[in-house]
Amino acid sequence: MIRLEKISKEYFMGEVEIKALDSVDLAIQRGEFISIMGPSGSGKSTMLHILGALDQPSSGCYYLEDVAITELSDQELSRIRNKHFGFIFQSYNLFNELTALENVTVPMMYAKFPKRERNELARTLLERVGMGHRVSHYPNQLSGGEQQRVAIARALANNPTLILADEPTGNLATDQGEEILRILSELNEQGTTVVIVTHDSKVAQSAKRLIQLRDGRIVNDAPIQKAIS
Amino acid sequence: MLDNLRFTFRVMLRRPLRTLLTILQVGLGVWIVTIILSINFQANDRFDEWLTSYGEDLASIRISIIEEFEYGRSESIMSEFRLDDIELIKESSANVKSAFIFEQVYSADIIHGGIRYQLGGLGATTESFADAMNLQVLEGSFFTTTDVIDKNKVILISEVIKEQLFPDSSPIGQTLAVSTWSTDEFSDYEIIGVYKQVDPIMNMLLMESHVLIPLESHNPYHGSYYSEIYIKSLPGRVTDAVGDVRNLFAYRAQNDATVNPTYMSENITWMKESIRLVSLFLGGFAFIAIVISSIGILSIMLVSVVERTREIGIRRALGASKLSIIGQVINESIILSLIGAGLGILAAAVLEKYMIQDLIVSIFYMEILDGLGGLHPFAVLISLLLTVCVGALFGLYPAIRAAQMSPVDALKEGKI
Amino acid sequence: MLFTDKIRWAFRHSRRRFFESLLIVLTIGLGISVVVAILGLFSHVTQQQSAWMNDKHFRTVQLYSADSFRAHDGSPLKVVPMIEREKVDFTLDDLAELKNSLPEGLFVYIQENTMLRSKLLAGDESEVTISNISGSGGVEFGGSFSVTMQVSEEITEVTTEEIIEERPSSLTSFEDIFETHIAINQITSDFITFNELELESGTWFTDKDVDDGNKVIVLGSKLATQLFEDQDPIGKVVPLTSHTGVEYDFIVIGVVALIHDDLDESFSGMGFRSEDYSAYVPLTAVERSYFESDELTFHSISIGVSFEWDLGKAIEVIETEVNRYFGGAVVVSSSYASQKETEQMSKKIGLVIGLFASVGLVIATINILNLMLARVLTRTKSVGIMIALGGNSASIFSEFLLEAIILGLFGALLGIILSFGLAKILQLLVLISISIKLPQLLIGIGLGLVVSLLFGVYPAYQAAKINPVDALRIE
Repeated sequence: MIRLEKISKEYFMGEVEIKALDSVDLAIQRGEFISIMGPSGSGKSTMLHILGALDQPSSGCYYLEDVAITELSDQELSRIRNKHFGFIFQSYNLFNELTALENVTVPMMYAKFPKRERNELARTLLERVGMGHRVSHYPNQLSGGEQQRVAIARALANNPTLILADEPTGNLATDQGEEILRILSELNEQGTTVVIVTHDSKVAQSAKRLIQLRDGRIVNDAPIQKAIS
Repeated sequence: MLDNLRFTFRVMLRRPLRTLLTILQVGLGVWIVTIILSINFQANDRFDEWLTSYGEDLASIRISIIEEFEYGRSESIMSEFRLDDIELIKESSANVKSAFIFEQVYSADIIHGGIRYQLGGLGATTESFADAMNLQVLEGSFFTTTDVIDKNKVILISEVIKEQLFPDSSPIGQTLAVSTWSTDEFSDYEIIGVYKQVDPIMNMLLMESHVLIPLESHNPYHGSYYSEIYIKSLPGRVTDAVGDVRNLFAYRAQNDATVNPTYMSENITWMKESIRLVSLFLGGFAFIAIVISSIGILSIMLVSVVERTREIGIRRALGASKLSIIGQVINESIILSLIGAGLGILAAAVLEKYMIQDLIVSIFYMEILDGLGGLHPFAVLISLLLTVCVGALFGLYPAIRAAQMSPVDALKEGKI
Repeated sequence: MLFTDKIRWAFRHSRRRFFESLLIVLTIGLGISVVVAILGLFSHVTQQQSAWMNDKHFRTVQLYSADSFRAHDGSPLKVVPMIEREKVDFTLDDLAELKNSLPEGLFVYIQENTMLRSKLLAGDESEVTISNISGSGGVEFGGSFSVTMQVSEEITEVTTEEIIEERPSSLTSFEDIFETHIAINQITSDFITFNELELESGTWFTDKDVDDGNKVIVLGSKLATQLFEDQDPIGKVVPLTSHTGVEYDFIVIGVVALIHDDLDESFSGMGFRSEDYSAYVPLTAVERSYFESDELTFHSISIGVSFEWDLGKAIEVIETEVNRYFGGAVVVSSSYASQKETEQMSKKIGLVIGLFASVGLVIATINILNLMLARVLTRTKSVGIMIALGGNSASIFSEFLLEAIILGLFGALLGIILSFGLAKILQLLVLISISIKLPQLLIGIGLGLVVSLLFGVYPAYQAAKINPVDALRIE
């Protein structure tokens, strides 16, 4: 479904050139549950941004269902982000001025859903993540775990091909974090492809496939059982 | 204190565009206020100067019928005065210093060197005129009582005429052929003096007369009757003097007519009033501009405080008191305002010649304000004070908001 | 995003920073209100000016004998060419000649005005003479805008020339004169055509009446009522006493239709009375006043320029023709030049006032620019999220711009409301009624739009340029 071919990404920090990704090849199949692990600076965030079409690689090719999306315009990319990807962030990144329900409707707004349809869908999604009782709360009225669940519902909004989660449990207490991981696993069981970026090996364990990055290269890519042994 | 200032400047430089825009805002407001205040103050100064130099004790009286109508008033003026009345006035009132008659002949021609000229205006008057109006005789002398009584054909010319007709030589003793009311009957006048066409308000009274002759030395058009007599009173006694003269001539006012005075100071008051009106009108704009720029300071300081929530939190955590936070923010607001004010005043100073002189003076029909220019020191002072006050006042609310943030919250996240 | 969503979104953001938005709206509102109020003032002044310009009076050109006519330009000394000039006295032949040679649309006539005593009025027997009424200065208008209100020069001119030589024994007020005298217009036929005087009843006199000096009279509507009440005035006799005391009987042949139905008698201030109180007779029907010689000569000829002519062009044509006919001995005088000057002057005044008035708006726009930039800055992260959720630079740009426009429009709305109040205050100050009408309102809204567009574009562009990866990194 997704194929990365020789993806490299360099950027400058002041005068120093940093190679975030160095000729990475990766293929992701539908229904996979992948965690990308690595120490900070290993390029895992860059990997996630490129996977989510938020960032463009310096070189290499990115095929999404055999479409080379590295060659698309800003307009088309935004549509792809909207339709194919759902982002989950460490600090939730909900809009503070919007209620839980409204937050979930934002991607659908970009997809030009009419208002009523949007609200119905958002409600169902919130129920799916167990937030059906707090639809009209604002983010600052919710606990961290609750906020992250809203964020997951938002990520699911346009029924995406791929959910990209950047340290989804990083700001959460252990039990809340486990709840989030449980939801993500559940979603994966139901058929959604999930990619988690984390430096926490415990979190990484909940996935089915583990990719380890170091200095912009994939140093290990194997199913979880192997990684344990 | 110095550290404080340095810190403020660093904060300002962190967002150069914002600082620039804020300064520009204040500068524009101060610019317009300075200009308008300057006009007002300068004009008032000038009027006051005139008033003290000769206007205060000067009045004119006339016998007329004043009719008031819904749409205004009309005045029908009678010609009831004779030359003898001047003596009569002086004899009968102890308050009068001198009296004179001034008749304006707005169409007069002269011939000099074989060329006929049309004069801008000719004044026929009596000997007290020079003294009462502080007329400056540059060369020669003014005419005497005898000249007036004997209707001697003597003439004084203004500096302007002298420059044109006698650029290199003294005109005294030369003759000019003069015809009044532009007839073809010329008679020779001997030039006995050159006077300075003083300031514009004087010109207004003289009606731009460029030569002066004894009252009845030319063909009197009204017979020997005049409509107006000017009175110069002893210092500060102009109302008494006018009262005396009104009583003196009351018997001549028949039917609905009355003896009516015009005080020179009234004219000046009227002019002052109209300048005040113009200033008020323009000042209204200036006021609104200042209000808008004040709101600008208020809102930008608020934004800046919100943005710096974290920084303020850290400073509080490091031991800064609420008061010092307030002081810091107000400091910043005042400094921004002051720089803006400096810029505005500078702009006003650079543009004042154009703004004040060419535009305002010529536009508001105030030729008498000719030559007015420069920023008035009071205007600059008021503008500066105003900006400091505005800066402090409108910095206060954001400052308090900043101080009220609890250090813990502020450190946690920028939430306001 | 659907457009409605965008608008809702923009409102949300504005509401979130309610105080700040309020301040923006307030500044724009204040700025626009001043401009709208001033525009109201301008439109009133220009309207009045064009009304004056279109007045027949300003479209009338006078011919004078060059020997006595002096243009006074206020310069201290001006060379006068020493050519012996003969005084030109205009005759009825001159009039006919000019009428023939001037093109269509230029009405050549002679008009003289006089006040004649009539026994029909107040039955007054006393010897009242019209003496030196040197109407001093016009109506006093408060404020500094009397500029456009100059009373025409011609009016004072007539009186100075008719000042009598002997000293008056007493002075009569306007009121007294109006009680016993009728204002008589001695005219020739083109005066009637040019001024488009309609009759209520009867007929006008003809060219032949003018040639023969027939004693016929056409009355103003109110004069007719005053003299004859509800009787039919046609055919009635109006006795008039000439300046030398001779009495003539004039036969009424017509009544002019009411001209000013709203103008009351009280407008008799300044020495005029409503035209409805005056009467018209053939130029030659009344004995000439003191100064004129007994021959049928006149000191000026008037030429009315109809509206199909451009006034400047018409004056050129007239000057050429007059020079050809009189050969430089006659000058053409009109208020055209001074009209142009007044027009220029008002434009200059308008410019300065406009400049001062718009300073506030300029400050307000700088203010929005500043605040919108600050908003972009604080919303950097939010922009990053939006892009992650499917936004792109175009949508971000339009969202921020829309926000600025909504603020601008609210500002314009507030400005329009405030401008009505401001107009009231201005009215008190300059004593000119200010009317704010649709065009000014549209300009106000337009200004709000332009201002917000102008100063919303740059911040919106800044927002669109935000790199989502960097933005998302901000904690």
